[in-house]
Amino acid sequence: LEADEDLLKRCQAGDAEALTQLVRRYEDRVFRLACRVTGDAALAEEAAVEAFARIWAKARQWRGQSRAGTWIYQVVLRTALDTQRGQRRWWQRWGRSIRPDVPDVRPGPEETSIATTDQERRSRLLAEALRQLPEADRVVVHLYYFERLGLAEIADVMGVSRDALKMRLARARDRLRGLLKGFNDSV
Amino acid sequence: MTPFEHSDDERLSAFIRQASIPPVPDDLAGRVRRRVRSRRRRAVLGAAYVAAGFVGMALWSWPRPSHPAESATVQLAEVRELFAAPPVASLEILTRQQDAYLELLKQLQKE
Repeated sequence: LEADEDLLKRCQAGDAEALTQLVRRYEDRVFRLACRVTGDAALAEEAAVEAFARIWAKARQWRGQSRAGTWIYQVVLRTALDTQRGQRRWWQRWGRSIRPDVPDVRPGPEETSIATTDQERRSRLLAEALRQLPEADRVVVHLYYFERLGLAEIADVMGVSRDALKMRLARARDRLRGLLKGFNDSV
Repeated sequence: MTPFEHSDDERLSAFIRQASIPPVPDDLAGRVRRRVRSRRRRAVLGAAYVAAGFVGMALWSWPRPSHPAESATVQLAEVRELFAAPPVASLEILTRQQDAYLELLKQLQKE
């Protein structure tokens, strides 16, 4: 299996096949992070596509100072935040609303009413609790608990010091616990 | 390392991993390829428009000769004539003429 670093170097040389391989390798992680940041599947899809396009366009800016995966996460996080913030501007909302090519895969009301099993209820409650966290806290929780990245790598991705990250993680965890009081037995 | 208990972290991690995330949309790679291609096309078109604009501006502001090249040589030849003193008799000639006229009148009167 070719290393991420080699794929990025091939992207720098303009090899489109390397980009396709990177997309296939990272699409799950990129889409999950974008989903966590934006809280919306359609927006997350847009952010993921844009993130990969930026990775292609900015590949030359990566000079091996960090792991390829860390750099990719940095680009994805910035793109997802841009997409989320752009969504708050009314003219961009309007621009997107007239483009029907992004399917909305969020569960509809029928699916919601069917979601009665305990696992689904937990899942929805957790998703709701995560949505209530501030953007940065949500990203930290996702990268640490879901993607299981190390603190050093998350600090690199978010551009904060390790100590600041630890504090943010502790704060986010406390908030999450407060929001999930009903499930204290599980958390 | 972390301010929390390790077991707590593990439980929270397991719990968080239960949160449903929609599946990755189909053909993400295809969409990325299309976007990259359309960006490249747009960049090429933009560069072409800018280049065409520059060429147009250059052609527009290029100094155009108002006469054919042949007449330019004629103009050069006429320079002396153009900048020469006007064909008006000098004061000395006029004085002589007047003197001559007076002399003629005097002779006519005598006759």
